[in-house]
Amino acid sequence: MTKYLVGRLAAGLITLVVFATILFFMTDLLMPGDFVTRFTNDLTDAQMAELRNYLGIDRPLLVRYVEYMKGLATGDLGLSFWGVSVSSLLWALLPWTLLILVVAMGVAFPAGYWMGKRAAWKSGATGSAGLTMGSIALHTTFPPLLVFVLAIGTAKLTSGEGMNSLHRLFLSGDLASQTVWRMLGTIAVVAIAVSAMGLLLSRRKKSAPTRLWIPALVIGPVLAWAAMGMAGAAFDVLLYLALPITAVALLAVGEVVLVTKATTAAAAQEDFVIGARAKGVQEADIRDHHAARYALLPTLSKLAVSVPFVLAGLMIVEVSFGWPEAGTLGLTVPGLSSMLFTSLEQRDVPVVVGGLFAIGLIVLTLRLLLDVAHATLDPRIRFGRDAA
Amino acid sequence: MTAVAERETAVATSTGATSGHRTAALARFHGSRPGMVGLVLLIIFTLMAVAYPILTRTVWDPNLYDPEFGLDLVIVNKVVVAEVVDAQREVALAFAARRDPSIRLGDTVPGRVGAGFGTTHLLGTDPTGRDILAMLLAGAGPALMIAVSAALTTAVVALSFAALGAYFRGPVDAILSNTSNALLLLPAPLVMIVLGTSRYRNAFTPVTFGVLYGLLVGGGAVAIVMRSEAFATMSKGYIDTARASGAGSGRIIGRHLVPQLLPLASVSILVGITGAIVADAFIAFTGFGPNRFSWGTMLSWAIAFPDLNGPVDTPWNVLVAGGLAISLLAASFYLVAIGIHAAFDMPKR
Repeated sequence: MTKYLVGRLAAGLITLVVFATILFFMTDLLMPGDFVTRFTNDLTDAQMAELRNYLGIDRPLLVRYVEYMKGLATGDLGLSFWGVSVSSLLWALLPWTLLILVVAMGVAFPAGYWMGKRAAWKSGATGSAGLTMGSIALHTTFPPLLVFVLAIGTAKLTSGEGMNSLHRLFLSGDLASQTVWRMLGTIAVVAIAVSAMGLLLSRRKKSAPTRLWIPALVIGPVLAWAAMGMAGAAFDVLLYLALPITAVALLAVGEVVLVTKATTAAAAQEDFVIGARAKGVQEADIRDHHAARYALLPTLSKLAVSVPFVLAGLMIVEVSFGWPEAGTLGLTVPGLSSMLFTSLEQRDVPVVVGGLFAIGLIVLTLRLLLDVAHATLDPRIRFGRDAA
Repeated sequence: MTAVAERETAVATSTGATSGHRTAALARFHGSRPGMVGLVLLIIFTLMAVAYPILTRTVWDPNLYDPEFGLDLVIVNKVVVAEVVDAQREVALAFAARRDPSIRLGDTVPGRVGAGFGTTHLLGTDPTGRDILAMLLAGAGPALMIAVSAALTTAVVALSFAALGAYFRGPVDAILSNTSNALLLLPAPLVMIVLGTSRYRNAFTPVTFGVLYGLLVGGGAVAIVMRSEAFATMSKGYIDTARASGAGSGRIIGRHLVPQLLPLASVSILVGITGAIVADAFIAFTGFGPNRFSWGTMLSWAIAFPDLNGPVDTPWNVLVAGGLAISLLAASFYLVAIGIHAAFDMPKR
């Protein structure tokens, strides 16, 4: 399994290099660095040339490419044209996007999987057809409209004053970002601990108490936050992000249901399901432990392909909440997309490239995580044999 | 050449390319309720796109029904109040005082509102008096063009990536699959949003938009799904049979590999189109998009330019109509994909 994972990691690195190359040339081709002409109308040509020289955008493309790749290797994403380092921008904004993604997917995946396998088992029933239609509807919803409905709905429920006090939360800037990073770290640690426990239990041939996983994943971080004395701040952050998280979870859950339903329905036609039924295994057990468990692998690998689409939806949701028209709450979601869209408008190429690179990195990391999950769940990989 | 073709007929029979199989597949599609619903929706959208130019040229007065400049406003007397509850009858003091500082609370001022529902406007008008039905019909054409051009490009790119990679393997496959993996890191809808709001936005007609989206998705996500299927197909016996009977690489790829991939390809392509439709609508919705009309523009106007007299209530009639149109078009492709899935009886992924 270690060999498999090292192989995946190496392949991931190659992909990352190809990706960075495509990104660099694509951005340069489509969005030349005309930051200077965009913001400095009153300069003479000589002054503009000097500024271009200072910013380093007058050098040949290949020189800049080598320089850029060298920087990437050392984790340096360069400077924004405003003089701020792109890495520090990412450090401040990335955790918000990640937290929305992690919590939303953490809700959407178990819920979608749970509903999907039930729908597959009762295919043909009215409830199942309704669930399928509902999932397609959620999957194809126009995200800004969902945001609009959510924002207006909650604005009518709450007075909006609570939101104002929360608004001050990230005006304190760096401090709040650090809180969010800590929250993410705790969630990661708890998730790793829980899955390690589960793996250990299954190695000892004890049935891993699946039912306890989800409560452990919820209670673990909360307890850790309380222990670190940041439960209040964490609660504020989560409350502030509640609407974007809900929107992203709703957009993602439809696809999880559809994919799970399709793969479980396919697994239900396999011989071992008929065998289990002939053995007299209870129907719910066949569904949960035979068909759905078998379908988990194709479900994960199918969802791996749609990760970028979920991320695109997340970006749209983030931006839509920032709309003064959409948010009667005026809910500004700090995050990658606010950075991406502002810098896009300002032709701040290093920040655009940095933002897209961060997105690529998230997708790659998620795919690697899914590979790890795949390897852990697939005995053919777990015991060293190569899965087709 | 004919000898090869004859020998391959026996092979083709086993690959399911006969007319008998085709009728059976059509019957299964017919029996799939989601597929039929999707097909009917698509036909309705096509009819909408066709109806628009006909209606504007014959019955519809452009002054009333032009999706951009059509205007049907009614003059009403509005009461000046501190806070607007009913936008059809009231106007905010802060807003009215901007025109005439002497206006006080309780005064009556002439105001204009969009004409409501009725026989002239079957779905009503937006707050600034544009006919919603006309906007819906006008947006159907571009949206369909994006979807169709995206689908065709995705199909061509994904199938060539998968087929060439699986047939030639080795370095060809290495280059193609690495490109696919790298492209998968870039969320195609997001890239399209970045490009569509950039200074090149007006280069994006519906067709070029769809083609570029198809290149990104076809070379990335769909190519990855198709590649594993293509490898599985290449290991089937009839490929060896065809090769043994003297078929060249072009013939094996064109006659045996690609037809086998088509059903699954059409499913993943149709599913992937959702992103193109949503991305285009979102670009228009931001208001930074290309200078052409689409359903996204319609939503953007409804929210960004409320009433001429100040903020109005949420224009739900526009939001529901436009939002439903976008979602239903995306959903119709998804539903047709389910139908195709059923038609070719694909039990496994």
